[in-house]
Amino acid sequence: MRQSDITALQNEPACEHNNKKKSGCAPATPGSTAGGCCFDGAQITLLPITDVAHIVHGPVGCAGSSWDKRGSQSSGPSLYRLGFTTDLNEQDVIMGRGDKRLYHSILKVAQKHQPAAVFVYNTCVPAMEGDDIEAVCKLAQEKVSMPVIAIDAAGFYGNKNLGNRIAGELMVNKVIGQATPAPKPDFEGGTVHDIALVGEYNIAGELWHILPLLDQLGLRVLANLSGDCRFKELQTMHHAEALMLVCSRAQINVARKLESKYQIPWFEGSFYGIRDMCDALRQFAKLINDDSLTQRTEALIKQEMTLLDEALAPYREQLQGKKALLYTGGVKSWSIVSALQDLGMQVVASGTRKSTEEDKARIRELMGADAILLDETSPRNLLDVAYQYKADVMIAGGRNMYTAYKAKMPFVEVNQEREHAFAGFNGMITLAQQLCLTLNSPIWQQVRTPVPW
Amino acid sequence: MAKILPNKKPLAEQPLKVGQPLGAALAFLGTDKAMPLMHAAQGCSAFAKVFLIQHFHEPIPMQSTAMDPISTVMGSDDNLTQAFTNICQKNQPKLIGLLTSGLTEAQGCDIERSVRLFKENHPKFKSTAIIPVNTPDFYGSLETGYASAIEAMIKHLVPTKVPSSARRKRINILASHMLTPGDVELLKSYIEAFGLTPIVIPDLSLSLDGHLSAQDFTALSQGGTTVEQIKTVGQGLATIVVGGSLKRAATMLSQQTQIQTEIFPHLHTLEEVDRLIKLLSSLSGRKVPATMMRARGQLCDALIDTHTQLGGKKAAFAMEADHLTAFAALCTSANIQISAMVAPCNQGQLASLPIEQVQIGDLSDLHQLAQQNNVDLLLANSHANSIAKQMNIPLLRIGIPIHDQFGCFSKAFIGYSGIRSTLFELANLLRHEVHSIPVYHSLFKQDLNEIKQNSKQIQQDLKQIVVGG
Repeated sequence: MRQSDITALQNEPACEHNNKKKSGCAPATPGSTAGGCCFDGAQITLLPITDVAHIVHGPVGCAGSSWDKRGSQSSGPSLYRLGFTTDLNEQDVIMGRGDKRLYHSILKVAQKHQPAAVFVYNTCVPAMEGDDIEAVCKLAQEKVSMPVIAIDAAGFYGNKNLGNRIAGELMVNKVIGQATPAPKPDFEGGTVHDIALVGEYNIAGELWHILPLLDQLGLRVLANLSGDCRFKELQTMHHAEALMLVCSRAQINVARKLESKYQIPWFEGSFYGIRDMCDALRQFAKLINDDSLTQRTEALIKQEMTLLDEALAPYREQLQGKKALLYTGGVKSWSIVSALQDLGMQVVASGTRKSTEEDKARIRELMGADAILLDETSPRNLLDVAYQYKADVMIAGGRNMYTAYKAKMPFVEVNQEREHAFAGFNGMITLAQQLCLTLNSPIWQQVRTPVPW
Repeated sequence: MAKILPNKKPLAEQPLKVGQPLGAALAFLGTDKAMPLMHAAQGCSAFAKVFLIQHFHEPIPMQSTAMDPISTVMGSDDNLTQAFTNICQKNQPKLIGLLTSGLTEAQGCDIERSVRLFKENHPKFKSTAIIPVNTPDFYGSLETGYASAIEAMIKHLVPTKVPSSARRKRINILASHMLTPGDVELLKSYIEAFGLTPIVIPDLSLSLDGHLSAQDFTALSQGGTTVEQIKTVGQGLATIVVGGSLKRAATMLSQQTQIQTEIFPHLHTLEEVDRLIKLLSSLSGRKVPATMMRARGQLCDALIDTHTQLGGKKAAFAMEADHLTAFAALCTSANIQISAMVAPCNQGQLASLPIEQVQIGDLSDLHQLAQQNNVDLLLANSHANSIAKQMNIPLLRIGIPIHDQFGCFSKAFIGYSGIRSTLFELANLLRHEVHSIPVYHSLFKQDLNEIKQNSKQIQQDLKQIVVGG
């Protein structure tokens, strides 16, 4: 990939990080890095296209340590779960046989698995060597008669965020717009409207908390880039009447490009927490601008809120006044803050590691003026803050789980590796259950009791 | 207080209960050079033998008095004499455990008298202790049979007079049937860690621990506590009793020996193990070893690491009362919800279980209750495997028999490390349960066959239109 292309992607006009001195896509600091590489980002973005064969071209380190991470769920194909890789060996690297190996890999995978398409991910070694994966993909495509797409996002190009963007950009340029959607189905409530999602990865099946609600409103999700997504669906994404960017600045370029290319209006929202969930549904109605949809939306929200209040009542009783320390990565902090407050909890401090200025303002508004905002921080500091403010529970990403556990502190995991679906109205119930489960567990009493001798 | 629901079914469909003679035989197999002798028709010992072989994967010594129609009607004293003589002559056992069966109990056989007469008339066999136990299989279960055998050993072997010498390092242990050979091994290592010497009655870790010895064949139990050791328990510093079913045995022993006796209902929770360690520390006057503290820390860590996986899960249990008490405590400590309990027969301890009601019954009761309560997990012996499969939920194999897996007898469930392994195993068993919500197929999902690929021309046009527009 050319440096100029990378710079262009990093300079994303719709991202407010670019107005600050410290760019959101600043290069990593040696000796002090956190988070994945460009390849990681690209793969995460596209892997949930479930009927595609994802071939990682490189030595085994790239695919070997990242395949079969079970977060993103599929309602059908499981091809995406396989860890195809060219597994380059020393001789391949020295003799420059990577191209050939890749070519045959594509033929083999296409023949054996009949995928909807083949994606080939470039990685550091072949990128440095100069394997022409574009050319190999083109050559192979003629042979296998299915789309073979090169995803040129090798690890050293930049951070995970950049990988997300490269992947999104490629989909806009090479996949979206290639097919016409299936005819609209009938819907007794009125007209079916087509929508699209970007950045909902269907972790733990969260999408399946959302789809039933969208079905009731007559909203057809043409494609979700990407979660439980099929290649052909993605090809039809340009027909969407509205697009939601789900908690994801990283793919803001996709939304912007689709808007300029196909005039699809979009908004950025979240499915976490009651307020945001309602907001998201209302935004769709607003962008699509159909009175009957607006009415259906309001009716649905009213109905869901009644059910939810009833379901949450016993948990609210137990969670009332409990203090939470929040330190999230991918998921929007303010979104979780409002969700926790909806449950009657007090958020004593919140992380703002990936938050924009706008997000921070919103957190301050929710938590009050003396809100403790934690930017990049160490586990030590995190615990000190927890002790200082007498937090009852820590809510953070997986890598801080054992920080909390070693300090004998209840914990709920809310990032990409989470095992529970917290999105949507039902997700709120799951969140409340998980909070109660850890807070009320009798094990804390046991492990905190000093030895009796 | 749990309410005990009596068994109202006319029949057992998938029996949970294992008979008393089998329990008593198991207890005797934990003494050295012993031979369990069933006063019964030969099938009783044959079935019991195969049953225990399949569980322990070991040869099991077992004999019967070969009751036939004549001895059944005319009296079986001769069968007893003949059996004692044969076994003593052939095998020179240190101990014969004589167990009655339904048949011989109903017949009215007086085994105590027969044993007394044999001893009087056959002084040349006096080096063999013969312990009679009443274990009709129409009463109680494995648990009561096992406890009765221990009571009989105490009654017949332990002298009532205060011993002349004392061994200040010796700790007696009465071990319930719920302790596997692996459990006993671990318990002994805890006691040894404080410089004390454990004598376990019965010690299955010396006989049925699955070891290969130098000897190629032995007709008797190949290890265990010796009769001599049992006779001198009164010299010990204290007695530790594990398992509520051994309360009566504990009382007998403390009355006969006048030494300090501590009863533990189980060693399946951090709290009870802490209590044991504290006791051992004070008995020995030694500090708790660092390795013990480390193991304790590992258990605490495991409790935390598994708590969200285990917490709130619902479990159904079918097992003996001692097991129910122990595993209910373990599960409660890990926040696993106790949804249903089935016991093979009514025992005093059942009433204090942490559940509203305990069903006396069999595994088909477990099946029904497990379905009613929509449980996530079963705890029972191997016979429950088919139920677990039908319900598509995991089974933690507890009790006897476990005939479909290797090495279950060697597993330790007690102590810091045993509890830790059990928590991990439970968490792993429950892990296959997918947390994610069920797959939902949108009503409007596009039929992939209906999606039409745009021709190259259209794609080109589309681009131009957009660019132009």
